Amino acid sequence: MKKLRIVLWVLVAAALAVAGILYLNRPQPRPAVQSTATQVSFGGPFTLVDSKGESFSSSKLAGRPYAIFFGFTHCPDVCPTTLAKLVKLRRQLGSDDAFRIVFVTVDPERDGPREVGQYAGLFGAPVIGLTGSPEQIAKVKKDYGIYSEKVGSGDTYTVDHTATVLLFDKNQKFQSTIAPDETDAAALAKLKRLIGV
Amino acid sequence: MLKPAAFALLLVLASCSSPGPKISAHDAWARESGTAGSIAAYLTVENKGAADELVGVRSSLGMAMLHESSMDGGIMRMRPVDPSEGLMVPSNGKLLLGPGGSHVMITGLKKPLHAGDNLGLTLLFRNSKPQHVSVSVRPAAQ
Repeated sequence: MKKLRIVLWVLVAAALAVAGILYLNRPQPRPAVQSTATQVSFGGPFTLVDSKGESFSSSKLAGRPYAIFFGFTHCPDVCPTTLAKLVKLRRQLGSDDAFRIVFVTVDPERDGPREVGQYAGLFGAPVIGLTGSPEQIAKVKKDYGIYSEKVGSGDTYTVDHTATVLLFDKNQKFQSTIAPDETDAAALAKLKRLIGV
Repeated sequence: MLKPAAFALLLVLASCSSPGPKISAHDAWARESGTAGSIAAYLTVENKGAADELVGVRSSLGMAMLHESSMDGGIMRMRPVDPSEGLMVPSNGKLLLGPGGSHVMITGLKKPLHAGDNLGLTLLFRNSKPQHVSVSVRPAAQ
């Protein structure tokens, strides 16, 4: 009888050990933004050029949460759709001041200050349009984990690009992302969390 | 006695089968354009007959092409639709061109398009006559 009890307790201990190992090795969610290295956090200070052609320092964005989206003005489908969605969701949160929407071009060759300014102005709500020199844009892309690649030639090339929206809190710390195909409900929940509602 | 009747019946049945596609297009819209002079137009093609393919598109206001946006791990890509393949309009079904998917891309607009404007598109099909559709331009934030 005693031997049986010992065996049973050993089996219990073994089962607990296996459960512990399985728990520690449970699958982790993958980050949504594509990057070549494993970037754990995105962001950092940048200097770009605003729609008036003046230097724009990222420190200007401190004090209010913001959503950054990278695109290009010759993009007729995904970019206007994403910016329109952000404007619409911000309206649902009650105020244009809830968070800032920042559009950064990945096509500085075609998108100068006038182009990004006009594009940002299409949505009938405050959107900050930014461009810069190819070097400035390359640096921001790298720090923010954004991929882009020109496809085609001449005047009518397109640019493949990461279309994920990056969310930063009012202290300019990266908080989360909104994927291009995320539902309005899921995106709204993330934005609510961003503004602290 | 029966043979001619059966033959006639077969003829009638044969003429009823294999109808062609019956295509109509509607709900065409686009967002206002920026300085880039290009817009994406979206629309619905309905087919009450046999399957067909949308193989091309023409616009008097610029160069029009069928494009497809696709997503690949967070990266958006836009590519022209191969004209030899076209976009399938299923038998007794619909083809939807909408945001984030297939769309008509019009480039080389000489003047920007504003909300309230209209532009005409001609849709070209493999097995059907061209269809004309009027695209209504909406405000960008919609």
